[in-house]
Amino acid sequence: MSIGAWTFVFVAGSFALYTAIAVASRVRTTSGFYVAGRGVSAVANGMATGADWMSAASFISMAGLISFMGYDGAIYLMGWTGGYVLLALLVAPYLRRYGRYTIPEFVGDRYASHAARLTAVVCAVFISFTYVAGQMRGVGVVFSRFFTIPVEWGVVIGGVIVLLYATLGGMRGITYTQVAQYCVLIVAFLIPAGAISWMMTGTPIPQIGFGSTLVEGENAGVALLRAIDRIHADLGLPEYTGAFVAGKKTLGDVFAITLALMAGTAGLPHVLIRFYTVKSARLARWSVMWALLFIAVLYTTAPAVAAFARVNLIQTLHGTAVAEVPDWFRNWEATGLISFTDRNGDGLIQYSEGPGAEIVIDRDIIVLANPEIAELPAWVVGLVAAGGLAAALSTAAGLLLVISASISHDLLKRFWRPGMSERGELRAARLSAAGAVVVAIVAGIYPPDYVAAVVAFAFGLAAASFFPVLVLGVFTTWVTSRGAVAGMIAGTGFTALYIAWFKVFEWSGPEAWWFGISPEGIGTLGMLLNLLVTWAVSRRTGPPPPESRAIVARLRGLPG
Amino acid sequence: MASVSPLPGPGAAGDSGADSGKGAEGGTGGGGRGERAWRRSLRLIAALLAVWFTVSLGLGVLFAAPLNGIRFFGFPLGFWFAQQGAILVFLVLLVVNAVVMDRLERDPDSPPGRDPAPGADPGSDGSS
Repeated sequence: MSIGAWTFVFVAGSFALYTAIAVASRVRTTSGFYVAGRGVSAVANGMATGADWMSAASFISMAGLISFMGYDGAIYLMGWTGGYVLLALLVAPYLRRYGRYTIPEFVGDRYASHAARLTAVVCAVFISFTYVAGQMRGVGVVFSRFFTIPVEWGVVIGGVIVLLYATLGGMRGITYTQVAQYCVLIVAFLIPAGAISWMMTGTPIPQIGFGSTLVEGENAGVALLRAIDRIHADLGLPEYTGAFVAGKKTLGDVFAITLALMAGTAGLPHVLIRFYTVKSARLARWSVMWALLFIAVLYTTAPAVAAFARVNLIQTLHGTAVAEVPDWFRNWEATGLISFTDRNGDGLIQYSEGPGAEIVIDRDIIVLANPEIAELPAWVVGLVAAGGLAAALSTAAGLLLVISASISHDLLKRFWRPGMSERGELRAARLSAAGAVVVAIVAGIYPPDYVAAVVAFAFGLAAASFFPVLVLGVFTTWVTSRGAVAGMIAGTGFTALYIAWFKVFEWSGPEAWWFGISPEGIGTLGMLLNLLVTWAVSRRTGPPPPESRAIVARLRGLPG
Repeated sequence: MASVSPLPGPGAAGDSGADSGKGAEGGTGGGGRGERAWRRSLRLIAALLAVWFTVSLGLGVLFAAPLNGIRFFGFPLGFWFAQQGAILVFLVLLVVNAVVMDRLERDPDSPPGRDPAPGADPGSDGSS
């Protein structure tokens, strides 16, 4: 069977599975719609969180980015896993113990303030919309690459599938499709990774192959990472494993970005709401552990894939005559992800990076073309397509639920019609989910200009808004509602302005960065500013009302 | 997290002192025991966060450059912490956290009646 046929089989098969799960897990109550009736087991929730968390960026782009960043790739690896430690220790069990359905609800209740609730709703919706636009775009791109249909159609097909299971099954449908999607995406990631590790280092376990010696090619017998450093030195590229060497990020920037991504991870609403779906605070703690385990499987494999691809790509291409390039090069050249211009007219490819390079490679190709580069059978290629779609769709669904719950539960029910019946609220939740899908489809077809800055935005804002507010809400008693609101507004306002200034409008270049911190890492400063403002304002407006003390006692598991 | 304070009084340090909650605490026993369990969980959190910071932002970032001079199997050590080791340690931290907190909550010295907190009952949260 051809690659196209296998791709169709895997994608159609996995979509049929998701639809079947959606129909089987449809819900009739708001509790089922918002929190899956709180009946999800810790392992299933961990798996669903893994899929919810690992987006198109983790699956398709991350290994490729690391491959071009070397040591600096650690910002994603540690940032996006270290956040789960913060989540388990400081946030998830306490949120679950308090109960309720949404994050703005917790913030509003804890600080006894509608202003805090509204600020939280705006932050949650804004973060989720910026993030979901990227996911829908990812779905469209995968479709267009593997099926050669326009990106727009891919976005629409993906949107319809999400629409089906998000409106029918709410959180319950999303949870169990995410479990299936995790299985699809992890198998699709591990099979090519294991095969390449086997080919290059003789061990099928990429994490071990990462530190092993190469068994083939001109560097046979040399440790993989040493070989890469040597190749980089020959080509005049910065040392791959080197930290803070010339041409790489500075120590301060790596520190700030890693911390911002960690705190952002622990403050992203679509991840936080997953811990509402289990029965108790105890199970929330175990779910975070399982989630990190399932995520770590991909996150410890990705840097190994990055290193294998590094050697493979340069060895295959550098100094190769244009007439002799492998087939995959031609295939992906047709999609525009690789382009080659023979600048010096010698008929050979000279590998280099930066402006003036003969060869320009899209980072995404590292994962997408991996099976072809490693000459794996056609069915593996089809599986990778299904895996990429699973990663994008599962994350999109989780984000859409946050948007829908914010609208139906936090805005409609709380402010507009407090007396709304269970059935009415469920209908409103379904309608707002459907509305959110439509907006997401449109955003995926006409991506806003700032899509490239989306990750910085979502994590920076989550780090500067939710993370401090949630942690202070559990571990301190002195924060007043005005302090919390002022802190959130100051933190998000500063972070958004900084990102807009340097990344969206590019009014100044990197030389003007504060303390050398890039827009990706500015959430760390935003978070500190939030804490500072919260403290200063709380001191002047305290003490907080006695009800908040009772809530804090409950969060900590203390009797009133 | 700087507010973590040492446990007050003797007997609280060891789990063997389960009987320390009897007698003297009397009527306020529930609150006192809850406070103690909360303080113990704060100490656990502080310890785990210290390890979290040390392996990731410490060994993986602040000390990555000097550590890269050391070879660890096929890896420069700082690079290994940054791209593999920190993640593995995070996982161990979360297992320790879940196991120790379970024990803390099951311990007779931990607060009674903590679980009937709102939301703990999966059936009754529809109205909350």
